[in-house]
Amino acid sequence: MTSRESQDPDMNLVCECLSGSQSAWNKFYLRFVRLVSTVVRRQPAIAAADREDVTQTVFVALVRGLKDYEGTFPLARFVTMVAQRVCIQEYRRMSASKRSGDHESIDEDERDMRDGNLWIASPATQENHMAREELTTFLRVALDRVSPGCKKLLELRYMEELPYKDIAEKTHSRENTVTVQTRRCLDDLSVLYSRLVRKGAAK
Amino acid sequence: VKRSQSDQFNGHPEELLLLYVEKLLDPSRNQWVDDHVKSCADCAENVRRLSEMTRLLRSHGAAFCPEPWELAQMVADGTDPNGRVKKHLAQCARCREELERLTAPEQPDAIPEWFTEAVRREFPGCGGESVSWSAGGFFNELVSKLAGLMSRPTLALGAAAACLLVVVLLSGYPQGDMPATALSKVDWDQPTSTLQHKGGMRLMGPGKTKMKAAVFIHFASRNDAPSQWAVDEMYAQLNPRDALKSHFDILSPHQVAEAVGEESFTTRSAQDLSRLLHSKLGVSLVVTATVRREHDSFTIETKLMDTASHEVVHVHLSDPVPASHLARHIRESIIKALKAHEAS
Repeated sequence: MTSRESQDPDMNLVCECLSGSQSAWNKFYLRFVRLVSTVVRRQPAIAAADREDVTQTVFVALVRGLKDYEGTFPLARFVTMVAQRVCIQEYRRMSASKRSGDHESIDEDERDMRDGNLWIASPATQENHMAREELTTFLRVALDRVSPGCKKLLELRYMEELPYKDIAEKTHSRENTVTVQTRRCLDDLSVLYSRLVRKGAAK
Repeated sequence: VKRSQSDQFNGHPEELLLLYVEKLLDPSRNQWVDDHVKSCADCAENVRRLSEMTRLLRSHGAAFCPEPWELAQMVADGTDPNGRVKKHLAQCARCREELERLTAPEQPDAIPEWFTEAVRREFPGCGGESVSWSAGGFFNELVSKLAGLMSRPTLALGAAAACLLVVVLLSGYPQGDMPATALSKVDWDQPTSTLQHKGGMRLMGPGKTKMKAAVFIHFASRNDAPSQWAVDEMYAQLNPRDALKSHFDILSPHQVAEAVGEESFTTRSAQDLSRLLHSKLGVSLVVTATVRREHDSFTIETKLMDTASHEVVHVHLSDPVPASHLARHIRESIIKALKAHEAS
């Protein structure tokens, strides 16, 4: 074990797991089970009834793939990336088996009780969820690449939905300056977003 | 109007396009931009792009949310560059809900069989020993590994020394089923008093005094204690000063931790802690809220101790409460205990 590994708790845990220690793996499970279930819950295309199965598949993938972790970023991030990838694969697999009629699951979140009707998400709806999640991911990545000032400004305007006047007060600027800056930030974001969508579509 | 606006914006109303898209222009300007956009391909393209981005941002609010791993990192070790995640949490109910799930206490016995099987399949030589996070379990595991070394005489002495070192280290660190008191560096707004008041009284005016009190969150088992970040959040929400300011001068968690001289968790008994706070800071009352797991919920036992006599003057046991309401119930129990004392 290198000195870096011995000082890095993430790398230490990974090394212990890869040495085959069941107690290290149990520690790994307990540490990340809540994170994995959070990632799975965030995927609107995964039906509530399928979440437990998907969580299980994520952990099996982690047991197999932990050797790929190199320690260049936090272990929690690695776990999240694996979980997101498995969610997409599982969604595709489940969609395929639903089409062939050998899988049935009712998405509890999709039940619409307002009219006393039970509405079950159709494959087309779940496909929309998936596409929507993909767009959200592109947008999140694009937002991470604009300047921190721009991200803050866009967050105040489009997440918190503050009027320009209030943003100007908060940022100690003139209202006109804020609208001009917001417009420039949207231009930057648009360029980055379009680039990501083009790359994504090309994959 | 049209001519002056055209002059002002040098032919293209670029600075007005966002306000036009968001329908924030007065009718005359709106009409002018509308007419211009109909005849200018560049501006029409800009309007299309701005409309798309504003619509996307409004309909994909989750894009502003931190990734789940960022929330998990903040819970685990407080990592939050520039306080971005905390600021976001203040605005986003969805992320607060996720955070609640991420801070739910661990369930150490909850390793599913399929996971153990998956590990065994991938690592056939894996022992499959059962997990235990208690000091004893860890110690036993270590001893069993060292036992192999003990069978070889040349390594026996080194192994014995290692055992001794482990015993010394573990005796000072709260783990497993041992009870532990959570400490925190949270500082509630302004300190109520910077002076040391021996005797636990502070003058409030003619004939009136304030009693000096301290509060602790105590965990019946260290296994049930959440991360330090969650403990800090609990103490931050606990602040009972406003509710009790007329009769009590309550030390902040930061002042208490400074006096105790330890960080995060301590295994010192409640009596030891109250004696220490009495002698160091003149505290006359200590309230301890002991959190105990009952299946999926928690009970809170509140004890109020007179630090001079070491007598417990008030005890209350709550009904089970879910983890998500724990901080609020701890606060209410502590305020109730001190108010009951004030009334008596």
